[in-house]
Order: sequence, then structure tokens, then C-alpha cells
Amino acid sequence: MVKIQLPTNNNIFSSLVLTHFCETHGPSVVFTTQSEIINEYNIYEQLNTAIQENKVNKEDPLNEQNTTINIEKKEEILTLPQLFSNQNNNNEFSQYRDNLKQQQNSKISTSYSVQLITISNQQSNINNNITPNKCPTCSSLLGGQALVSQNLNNLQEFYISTHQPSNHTYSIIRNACVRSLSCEAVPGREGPVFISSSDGYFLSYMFKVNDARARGSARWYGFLLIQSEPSCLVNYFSWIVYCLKTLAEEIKSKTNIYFEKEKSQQSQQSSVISNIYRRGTRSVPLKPLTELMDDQDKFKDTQFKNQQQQQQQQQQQQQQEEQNNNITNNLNLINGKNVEELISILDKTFFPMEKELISGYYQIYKLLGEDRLGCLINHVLIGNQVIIRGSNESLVYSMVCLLELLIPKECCNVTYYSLVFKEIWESNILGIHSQVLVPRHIESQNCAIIDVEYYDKSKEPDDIDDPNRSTIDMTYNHDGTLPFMTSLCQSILSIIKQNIPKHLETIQILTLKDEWISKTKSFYALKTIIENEKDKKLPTFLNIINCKYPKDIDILMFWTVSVRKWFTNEKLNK
Amino acid sequence: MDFFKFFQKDSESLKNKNEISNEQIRFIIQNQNSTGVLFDTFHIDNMKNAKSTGSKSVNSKTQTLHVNSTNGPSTTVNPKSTIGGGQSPLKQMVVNKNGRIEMLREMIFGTVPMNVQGTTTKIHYLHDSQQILLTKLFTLNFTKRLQKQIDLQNSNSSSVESSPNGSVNNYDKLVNMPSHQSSNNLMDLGKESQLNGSKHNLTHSENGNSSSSSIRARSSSSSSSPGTPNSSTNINGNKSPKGGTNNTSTLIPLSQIKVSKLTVAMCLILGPSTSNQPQQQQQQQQQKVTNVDPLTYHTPTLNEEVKQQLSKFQQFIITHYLLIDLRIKCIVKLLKNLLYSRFTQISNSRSGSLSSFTITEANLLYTEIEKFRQHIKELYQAPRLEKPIWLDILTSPSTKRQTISIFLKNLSELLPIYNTPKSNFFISNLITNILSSNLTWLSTMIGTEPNQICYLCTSEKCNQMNLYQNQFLYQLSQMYGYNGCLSCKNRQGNHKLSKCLIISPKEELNKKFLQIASYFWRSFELVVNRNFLNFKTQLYQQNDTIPVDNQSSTSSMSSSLSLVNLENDVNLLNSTSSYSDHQHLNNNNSNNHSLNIKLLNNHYNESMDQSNSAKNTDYIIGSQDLQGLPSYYFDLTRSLMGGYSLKYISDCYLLGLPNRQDPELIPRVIDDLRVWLDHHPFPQGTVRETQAIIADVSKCKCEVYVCSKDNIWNTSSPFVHNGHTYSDIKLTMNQHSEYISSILSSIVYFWTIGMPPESCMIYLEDQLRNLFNKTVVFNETLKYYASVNQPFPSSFNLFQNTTPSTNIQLPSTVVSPISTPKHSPNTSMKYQNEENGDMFILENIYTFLNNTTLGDNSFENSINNININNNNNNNNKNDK
Repeated sequence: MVKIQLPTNNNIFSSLVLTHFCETHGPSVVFTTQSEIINEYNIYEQLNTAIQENKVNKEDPLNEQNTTINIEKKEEILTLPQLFSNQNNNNEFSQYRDNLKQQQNSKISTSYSVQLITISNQQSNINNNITPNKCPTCSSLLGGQALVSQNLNNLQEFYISTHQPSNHTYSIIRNACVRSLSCEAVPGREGPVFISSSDGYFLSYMFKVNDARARGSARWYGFLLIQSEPSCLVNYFSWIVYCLKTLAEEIKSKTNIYFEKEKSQQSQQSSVISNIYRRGTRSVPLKPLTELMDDQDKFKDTQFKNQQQQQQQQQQQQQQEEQNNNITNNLNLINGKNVEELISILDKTFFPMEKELISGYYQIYKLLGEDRLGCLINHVLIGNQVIIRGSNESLVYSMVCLLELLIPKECCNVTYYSLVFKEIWESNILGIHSQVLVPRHIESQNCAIIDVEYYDKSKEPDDIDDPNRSTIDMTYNHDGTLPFMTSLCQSILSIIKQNIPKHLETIQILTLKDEWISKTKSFYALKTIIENEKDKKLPTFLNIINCKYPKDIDILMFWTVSVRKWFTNEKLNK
Repeated sequence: MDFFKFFQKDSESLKNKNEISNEQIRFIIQNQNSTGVLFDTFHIDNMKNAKSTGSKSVNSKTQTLHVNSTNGPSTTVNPKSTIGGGQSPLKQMVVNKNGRIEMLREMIFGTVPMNVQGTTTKIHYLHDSQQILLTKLFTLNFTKRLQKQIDLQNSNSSSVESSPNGSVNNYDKLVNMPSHQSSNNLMDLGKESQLNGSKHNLTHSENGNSSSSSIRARSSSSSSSPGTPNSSTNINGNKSPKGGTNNTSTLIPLSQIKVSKLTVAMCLILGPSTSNQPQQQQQQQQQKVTNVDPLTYHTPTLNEEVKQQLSKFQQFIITHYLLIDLRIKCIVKLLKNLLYSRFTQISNSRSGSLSSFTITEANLLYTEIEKFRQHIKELYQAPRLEKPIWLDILTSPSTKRQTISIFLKNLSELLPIYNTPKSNFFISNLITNILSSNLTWLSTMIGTEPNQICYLCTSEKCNQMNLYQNQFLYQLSQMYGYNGCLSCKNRQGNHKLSKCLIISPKEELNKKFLQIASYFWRSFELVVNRNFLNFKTQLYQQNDTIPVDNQSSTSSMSSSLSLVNLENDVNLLNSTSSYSDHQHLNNNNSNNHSLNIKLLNNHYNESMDQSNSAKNTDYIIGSQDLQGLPSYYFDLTRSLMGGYSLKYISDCYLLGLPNRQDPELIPRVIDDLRVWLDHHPFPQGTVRETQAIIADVSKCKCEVYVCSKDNIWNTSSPFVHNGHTYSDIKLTMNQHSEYISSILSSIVYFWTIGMPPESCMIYLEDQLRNLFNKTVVFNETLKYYASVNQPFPSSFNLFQNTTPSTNIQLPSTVVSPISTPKHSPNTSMKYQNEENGDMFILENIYTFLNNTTLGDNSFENSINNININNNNNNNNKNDK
């Protein structure tokens, strides 16, 4: 049997419990199914605890029990996700078959598999103390054993069935069990009742099972659905009760067959009947429920159904959520590249000496001056080619990364550092080595060429001794007159000039970019309804979206590329 | 078009209004230690009905003489109560106590005395009589209080009025205030009798008020039950299995303890009364009186129609459980108050009986119950908003374009009139208020992962779980704009709940405003109990549309689908039992599609039960009628989104009203705000204020009534209405946001020049999200300047790029060519201006930000959120 490390922290408190009024032990829990959500966060914790446990065990050789368990652990301890992932991988064929089934039936639940496992981490089990396994009526699984299954809709969720509830839910479930079986009454003695109190919220369904050997020829069972929130139980009242009732009816009908059989036998053996009214001194012990039902797999089955129920509730929820999410954003991150991190890695590996890199726009502003920076930004924004030349790769790299942030990811065709020249259709933001020859057809009107180098200290006059001076030399081969201006560039410059910390600057620029992307979206929509650039609607539109400069439309045109890509992607996704 | 058909159904069903009679909502209050009942609305209703039909018969039937001496247990003389063979109702009940009443008592109190802290709620379904029995069971512990009382008496001889929680109850006066409902006779009578000074030993003469005397008779007869003549010496605490509060009782000398505990249950029976016809004949009346036992097991002869009505009503109750529970809490509170003060009286006078109510008390209770009934009835019959924009966009993608067009059309009609300086930019003001009070739109916009309620809680645990258990609460929280975490109870927060009323006598105009508001007031739809959930999965997978909306369009399809699925389900459940499976399959062959689901269920149950010989009991509460019922029976969001209503309806978060002349309107709104503040179902201690936006279209004024306990301390200018001072209410009026105004004008312009409606909405959504981004920037900038100890730069302006809405030409002038802008956008607003609507909305988002995870490690989050992938905007499936 597979040993499994069960999660120790129960997040959601949701349990389905089969309870029984045992003739010797009173109200007792027979079978508990609880849901567990295990994600990476939890697994990490588990591993930690497992490692710690192992350590403790090793340090404590006196405890023989522990060491033996420890050896067993070494053999094979899996977490639940591992168990099911293994299983899925091994049985590709069955998976395929299941998939087929799903398609035919669209019943996902058909492919559930329930596995019997041994719990490795519950060394001090309560159930051994309270209800010894000898009692056939109020025990189901052996202590330390569990049935597990996975929710195939939400692979993070698992259903674990044990005899007794886990430690931290024990008191709540125990209270609910006692309360439902011995304190609460329902009309006709069989049926549902919803209870909400400070002890918890649960829905109980009580039912009677015929048993010729029991007192009064009847035994009382109940299902409990315990949740942490009452509204769900009330709103699903009918449905939950329907499910529980179906389960109960099934149990009842099966036991009834056995009951009829026994009864016919009993009519000959009157001695058994006399025992029925005597408590405690039973000569013939009561048979376990499974035997009564002639169905050894009952509990497996129950688990299966419990799981199904919980799952369907979830499906419901998921659908709602999906519905929401279809409409609301499926938010993905654009380009989650962390520039600083990359640079620092590069730096540490290739350039052990610390050198100044271009880390912010304000730095460029200081080096180039407002006009030239504006010119550079404008070229980037409207999609002209921008060439960064330099002999130091990381320096060029840092500059390219900074400029890249200004435009949508889809519009970027970035080469971080190249030893050959690339044309604009190959790369619009191009980092090249300083020795690379730029072809003659590249005009300075439609292109910006920046040279970045480290300052040559030998040429530096001795009297300059400013500790904060930049070690970078940046030149923009441009006459300094601005050929054009755009609104976006203006806003970006105003942000840069504030000289605020880098993260603040980045946030502001990204916000601005976001704003302009939305402008582009509406521009894209507008393009479908106007005929040409002379359409009267266009200037009004530009006015509304606050595009005052004639060149603003170039930005919009260029950025439309990205919007078109998004729309087509989204269509493909849907 | 199926889209409109769907709503026609709504209105049709509204025409034949489903009346709920008072008998369908019945309250019983019972003491565990006395066999009778303390209070039963049945009698009072009976009395009222009888009075309205004819006073003679009642007088003779229910008169009982009541003698209640001050120094002994009450006794009842019941001289000639039997007429025509019918016994007095209470007598009947007492006599009947070994029968069904015992069962009822067991259901209410449990078979074993329990000692559970707080109030326990139970729901039983009495399938024989098809009633829902909702019980509130609580134990009052008097020992501590008694000690206090004695101490107080020693120091101060004056009697002290007690309040149960020991907290300052600002709203006690609410309870004591005369009811705002139409005055009922009973209440007046109660007052009269009180005026007569006949509080204790009152003997009613034959020509006295029949109703009040009967109340006294009923209550006292219960106390005269043989088992416990003086139930005030109740030693329940010693019997109780758990120790719990026994510790406290041991601290007090036993001689001083007269009553340690009192376990009282208040039951609400929802469902058919024993008689369903309000106007009965005398004979029927008598029969009814004999059937006073609440557990009348003989099933009333319900015809199909009544049954359907009933299932609808119960469905409604189940769906609205959270709200109903909230109202019941008020009644329970009053009841506890009454019992406490009763006890105080007893302990003062060393005599009296706990088991009966005086007329005043009964009247107080009855008034509160009447209010509750009225509330349920109003809510049940409330007109719902047709075509709520946001919900319809969510639930029916196929008609999305039409829905958006309706929204834009309404907006384009209203904007030229209601978004001008003359009208105070009314519509922008309204939307600014909505967006800043209910911030649900933010969470729909910035959620990062599906299936997660994120940003609600800092706790890793809360965020990582799939909170299907909380789904209803979550829905409710979205509707009222609660943004806190629903699962961890310890978290403190400053959340607010809000609602919105739009006042305009013109129904069409009002509806347009409501529809526009319904876009910004966001929640989601949760449809449950529609059927067994499997079949919905199927629909979701196979159809673009969602069953909510294909009631009419794909009704045949859905029913057939559900059939198929249910069969699957049944087969599945049967998979282990071969015999029934077989049987079932055989029978299935004869099934045709005309069978509805219910039939199939019954059939299935029958096949299961054949060998079992058990009675087939159906525990299904509520309706399964998929096609017939409008969706608000199943969904809280649609139900609480009210339409144009002539009456004020308490729990609707959006409602249109004709005028605000009704003097009761403002007090009722305030009452509701207080109730929500005190009894909201969200984790305790997190809701700081509740507010109502009252938007008066004719005056172009948006008022916000904020109810918060903090306001009590700011007593500079308490809110006064009609001479009443409401110290916890603050009335505020906010400026409109120029930003919002600009967005609205823009999208209307876009729409009029022929842009696809979807694109307009994308623009709107983008701009709204931008508002959030701006807040993040604002937040970060503030933090930065705070950290470097520098003043916030006055030049910092987040809205400098906003185009003023006045600059956007609205439809009427679209034709004319538009020149270059004449203004500098930088001058469009000043940050320092406190009245600015832009900053108002920004600050509200800012609060939200800091209430949630976003504020904590904001840098990463904010970068991530700004980096939000822009393509996946909410409605933007481009059709091209």
C-alpha cells in the first residue's frame, strides 16, 4: 500500500461525515471525507515539516517506533499531488480512454479513481484510543488508512477519507455528530435539519437502517455536511438533501435485502430475537454496515460520492467565476522581465568590476539634455529605428532595456546587442557594437543614433573632481533642433524631469503607456469607420483623446500593431 | 427576440401578484420550561381576521377572563370558551401536548437540553405540511445580571432598565419608536390599555377589547400549565450537559439565584397556513381554530396552483436566507430585550411570571413582526429592474451588443440634459458616487487569477482557497460593496456598505438612470437550485449562452438536456446497485421527453423505494420550475436590483422611486442603514459605515446619507429630518468627477459617430482601470514624499490629461466641424481643491487600496497591476 504524507493544515473546513448511533459507544463518527487544497505553497511547507520530522527522528534513536517509521518513510513517501501525478503519467492509455469517455459522456466524474493509502504522518491517531477497531458497527477504515481522490476540475483539491476526522476538526465534527444523533429531532425521525450555532454550521440527514440483530431492529445513521459558512448550505439545501437522501436510500435498500433474508432465518432461531432487547450482553455481535449491505466497497463508494458532491458545488462556483472572468480581465502580465535583475546578473558574471549603467531616464536626461532626449523618445514612440552604439555590451543593454519600456511589447523588435547592423523591419530598437558600420541609407531624420561609452579618464582634465559625475559619455548625432513633438513624449518628459525614484518613475510611465494603449484601442475602432485621414471625425476624435500634435497620430498608427495582435490573439484564445 | 421575451415573463408574473398572506409567515415564541407558547402570531392574526369579518363570533369565542395577581402565579379562568364544540386554541394545544406538539418541541429545543453559547439557528422542513420551520434558539443567562441588579438595588433603589449586550444601544429607541407601518388596531389597543394603567391585575369585562384580552388570556393560560406553575425558577443550567456558564453561577450565592437560565426559542414557520383563503366562512374559521397546533399533520388540501405559489415562495425564502436572517436578528434582539426587562421586573418585585407577556410587550413584538412580514411581502413583490446592463452582459454574451447599445442609447439621451453645468453634472455626480461607494468594480478589474477572491485579505490562506463555501456571501458582499475578507474573522477593516435610490416621477426616465447605474454597480449572478447542478455543466459546455437567459429561447433544449444528464446522474448513482439500475433503465425506455425532471426524480425515488416500503418523502424545498420562474427567485443579485417602485423596498441595493415626499422614506432608509450596520452578515467589526445615495433627478441633486457610529461623536451638526435628530447620520454631497464626466461624454461621442458599441465599452473600461492606475501612482508618490519628508508637490496632477467634457461635442452638434482645442488641459483642474470629484473618487480607491493587500507590498503589486494585459479587457471581444 502506498504511504502518503497527508497535509497537516486544513484550509477549508468542509467535511462530509457518516455518523452512527452505536449501541455500545453512542453517537460516533464512522467515516469522514474532507477536502484539502494543496498547492505549491502547502507542498513547500509539508516538505519542510517532513524534513524536520526526519531530522527529529534521526536525532532521537531511542524511539524505536519512530525509527521504524522513518525507515518506511524512506522507502516511499509521497504527497498527494505526487501520487496523482504519477498515476496520470503512468496510465496514458487510461487517460486517453478517460478523455474519450469524457467527450462522450461529458461526465468528468467517471474518471475518478479512489485509492487506499496509509497515512505516514499521523502517528498518534485518536481513533485507536476512542473507538477500538473491534467495534464493527462504528468503524470503517483502519486507523492510519485513508482513501484519497483528486478533483479533476481543480487539480489542487483532494478528498481524503478517514475513519476519524483530523485533529483540528475533531471537536467540531464530534460535537455535530453527538448533536445531530442524540439531540436533534426531525419530523418522522428521518430527514434533514440545518443547524447553525457558534459550534459550526452543518446540515444533517438522519436515516434508519433495518437490522434484525439490532435493538428495535433498527440502527440509526446520519450524514453530516459541515461547512464554515451557513449561506451555502441553505441555498443548496434541496440539492444537498437530495444527494444525501439518494445515498441513504441506497444504503437502506441494500440493507433491506439482507434484513429480509435474516428475518426469514430468524423466525427459526428465536434465540437471536431474545438478544435484541438486551443491551451489552450480546451473544451475536452486530455486523458491520458493509456486511449488512453485502457491499464491501461501500465506503469507497461513499467517498466517491462525497467527493462528487463537493465537487459539483465547486463546479457551480467555478462556472460563475469563469463567467465573471470571461468578461473581466484575464490578466496576464506583459513582459515580466526584470531589467535590474538581468543586468545585475550580467554584471556579476561578466563584469566583476562595478561600473555605472544607465538605470533611469533622468540619467539620460542629464546626459543628453531635454531636447535631445525628447527627440530620442519621439523616435522610439512612433516606431522609427533607434540605434544604440557602444563597445560595452552591458551599457548598451541597459539603455535598450530602458527604451523598450516606452512602447507596447508587441511593437518592440528589440536587439539588445548585435555585431551586425539590422534594418528597421528586423529591429526597431537596436543595440550594436561601436565598430559596426551603419549603412548610408539610414537618414538622421527617421532614425536616432546614440553613442554610449564610458568616459575616457585619460582625456579628463585633472581639475574635475565631482564625485557624482557620470562616468558615461553619451552623444546623440543630431543638430539639436526638434523635428516634431508628441503629446505622449511631452508627458513622459514631464515625468522624467521630476527626478523621482526609479520605481515611481516606472509606475508613472507605465500608467501613461496604459492610457495610451487604451487610446490606441479606440483609434483602432475608429479606423474601421473612417474612410481616410481627411475624415472630419478624426480631428474631433483626436481632440477627445487629447492628442494635440500632428505627429500623435503616428504613435497611434504604430501602436495599432500591438492592438491588432491582441485582438487576434484573444480571438484565437477564445 | 428571446432577449425581450425573457423579460416579458418577468412582467407577466408581476401582474398576477403573488400575495403572501400573513398566515404564511407565522411566529411562535416558546419557553423550554413551560409547555405552552409565549407568543403566537396565529392568534393575533386570527383575532384581526375575525374582527374584520365580524366581531360577534369572536367575542363569544375567545373571551377568557384573566386574573393575574401581583403576588402569585397567574391563574386563568376560562369560563365559556367553547362554542359550537370548538375548544379554545390554547386549551387545545395544552391538551394535545403529547401529540405532535411534543414533536415540535423536540425539533425546536432538541431532545436533550443543550447548552450552546449564542443563538442557534435551525431549519427543519416539515414535509407533510410543506412548511419551513426556522428556529432561533437562545439561552439567556441571568445570573450575572441578577448579581448586578442586586448590587444596583443596594446602591440605588431605582429600578434599572437593562440592555442585553451591555453595549450602548443607540438603536433601542428604534425599537421603541412607534412603527412606521400603517398603524394596526392592535397596537392602538395596546396603547389604550396601557394608558388605563392596567398593567398587572387587569380583568377584562365582556365588552372589553376582544383582541387584547385574548392576548392576555393566551399568554397566561400558557403559564398555568400544570407541569411548571412557576417556571421562573428554572434550573436548566444544572441539567445542561456542558459546564460552560456554570462557573459563573457558582460564584454567586445560591440563595440569590432565582432564575439562572432561560431557554427560549423563536420559530418562524413559513409555508401554508392551515387555511389558505383569507375570507373564510365561519365554519372554516372554527375548524382553523381547532387546528391551531402548528404541526397540523393533516395536509391541507392544496391545489396545484397554490402548491406552485408555495414552492415559489419557499424558493424565494431559501434564496434570500441571508437577508431574512438579518431581519430576524432584529426581532430576536427585541425579544431578548423584552425578556431581560421582564426578568428585571420580576427580580425587583420578587414575583410575577416569566412565561407571559404583557400586552405592551406583545404589541411591541407584534409590531416588529408586522414590520418583518411587511418587509418580506414588499421584497417578494418588488419590481425588479429589467435588463440590468452589467448582469446581462455577463450572463448572455449572445445579446451583449444589444445590451451595450441600450446602455449607450440611454446615456446619449440623458447626457446632453443631465451632464451640463446647469444640471450640476448630475449624471457624472451619480456615477462618481456609485463608483466611489461601491468599489466592486475595482475587484472585477484587477483580479489576477480566476477562481480566486483576491485582494480581499492579506492572509495567504484566505487568498489561496477556492471559496465556494462563501459564494453567496461573496455575492452579497459585491452587491453592497463590502470589500473585506469573508473567511478570517479577526481582520479589522473600514469597509462600508452602500445602496442607491434614484428618485424621479417619470418612470421611463427613472428606468434609464437605473439601467445606467446597473452597469457601474457590479456583482455576478449565482443561480442555484435551478436544478441539480449537473445539467448546468452541460449547458455551460455546449452553449455559448448560460441557462439564466435561455429560459424562453432554449427551454425545450434545456429540458431535454437536463433529462439526458439526469439520467446519467441517476445511472451513476445507481451504478453499484444492479437491480435498481436495471429497473430504472427499463423504465427509462418508456420515458419520453415530455417528462419533466421532477417526474423523473419521483420515478427514480419510487424505484429505489419499492423494496424499502418506506414512505417517499420529498425534502425538496422550493421550485424546480425552470421555465416558469423569473430568475430573481434564484438569484439574489437580480432580486435585489430593484426597478421603478412606488414603495420603498428595504433591501434593494438599487431602486427607483417616484418621489421623496413620503415622510417615511428618509426614516426608513436610515432604519435600514442602521440594521445593516448592526446585523450585516459579514465578519463582525469590519463594517464601519453604511451609506445610501439618494439621487434626485428633478432637483439634479445627489445626497449621500452616511450612517456610522463615528458620527455620534461629531455632534457639531447632526442630521435633522422632520424634527427628529439622527446623531449617527451624516448628510454629504459630493462634487462630480470631471474625469468621469469626460469618459461618459467620450463614449457617447464615439458611439454617435458610429464606433462599434463594444469599442466604446472597451474605452470606458480602460479609462476606469486607468483611474485605478492613477491611484497607485498617487499612493506611491505620497509614500515617497512622506519617506523623504518633503511636501507633496502642488504641481502633481494626475488628471492633467483629462479632456473636459464640455469640450466634447455631444450628438446634437456633432455635424459641425470642430476646431482645435481652445484650452490648455493643464488648467482643467487644481489639486488643492478639496471639493474636487476626481480626488474624491481617487481617495476612495486609495482607501480600498490600503484596506487590501495592495497597500502592503504595493510596489510589486502596483507594477503588476499596471502591467495588466490590456488586451483582455472586460468586454472586448472584437467582432471584426
